[in-house]
Amino acid sequence: MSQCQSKRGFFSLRDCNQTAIAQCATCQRAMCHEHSSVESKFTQCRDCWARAQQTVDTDYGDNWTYGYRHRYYNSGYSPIYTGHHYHHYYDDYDTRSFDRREGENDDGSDNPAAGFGDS
Amino acid sequence: MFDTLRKLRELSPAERETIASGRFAGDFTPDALLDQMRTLARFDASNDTTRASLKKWLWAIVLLTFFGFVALKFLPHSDSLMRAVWIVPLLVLELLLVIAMGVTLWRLRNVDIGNNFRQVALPFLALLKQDMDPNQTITVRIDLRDALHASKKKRSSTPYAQGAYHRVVDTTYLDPWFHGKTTLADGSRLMWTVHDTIVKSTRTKKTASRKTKTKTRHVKRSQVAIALSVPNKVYGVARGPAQPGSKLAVAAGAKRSTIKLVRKLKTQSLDPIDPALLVDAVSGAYRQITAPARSAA
Repeated sequence: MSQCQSKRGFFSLRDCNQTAIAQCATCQRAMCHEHSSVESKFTQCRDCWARAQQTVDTDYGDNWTYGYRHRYYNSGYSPIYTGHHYHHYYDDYDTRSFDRREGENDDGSDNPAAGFGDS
Repeated sequence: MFDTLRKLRELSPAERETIASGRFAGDFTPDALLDQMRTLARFDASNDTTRASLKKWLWAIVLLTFFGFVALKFLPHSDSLMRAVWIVPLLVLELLLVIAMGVTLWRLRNVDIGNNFRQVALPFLALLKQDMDPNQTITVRIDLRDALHASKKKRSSTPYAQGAYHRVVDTTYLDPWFHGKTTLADGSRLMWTVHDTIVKSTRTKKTASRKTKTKTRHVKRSQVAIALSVPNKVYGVARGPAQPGSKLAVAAGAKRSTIKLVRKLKTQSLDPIDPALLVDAVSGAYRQITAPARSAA
């Protein structure tokens, strides 16, 4: 299994770097245990769960922060990305990042032939 | 009510001590910090709900008791038996209930936590946790006391007249209630301070019917100040325009560049500020930095 493709952070985004344990049923990204949503019975990543749900969490847990992050980025903030494993999932947020190198894959590997989950 | 009292009993001695001291401070890892804050926040939310409910019930029982006494006074003597059997014990019960509820209300009021803690600090720190490594520490100092606590009173004006009001007294309270600093996962150092200045204006006038009426108004000025120090090896700084209502300063050093941002908000309510004000201040600083230079992956 490849690395988790979710990004950590709020003001700036970085790679998760944890080993993925499953694939999100919605966005097909590899996700680690921490980034899979318990409420979706580990079928969705936290990002997709947060995008779909608008629940009020007075405890301000991780689901709330991912939901807030989604709404905040949509309200006009473009987070800065400091990682190395670009993923188009965050394109909607107009993430400020370096330019992708030619031939580089979403999972960060250099081999153009290697697909998702092969690194 | 019983649920809140149970939650109060379940607080650890250290948590009770924190509430009693009115100060939540220390160095914590993000998870430890949020765990402790959530415990206190849950108790405080329950406490606020219970006290609001108790106040309503207390008023209802006080009114019932009052009308009970009135009924007792006007009951005919022939009903003395009924009075002895029903009304007197009922009034005694009501009185005991009022005393019990009053004591509980006073007890819960003493362990109340300012809403800034639950509605501003907790969500902000929950978001900040996302930008921290789990083993990094965060230093926070949060004042848990009410904004109008006697110790925060700074000065009172001498009484003066204004328009229809023959006596106006302005009392100023300073409440530097939130301060913190930490190093984020990207190597940036973040420091923030939130302080409120509240002017409580007590205005007294005489109406046409010669009655004296007093009104109290509040003006709260909140100031959020943040300093973000970013490593030059990681980020560049391209100073752009400040957001409306913000003051911005950028200082470039040899190893780090520091972005300072101050936002102010004036309201006529004592309600906590929107945590977005604090979040916007930090994101306003992050808007000034440019993406990291590409390293070979």
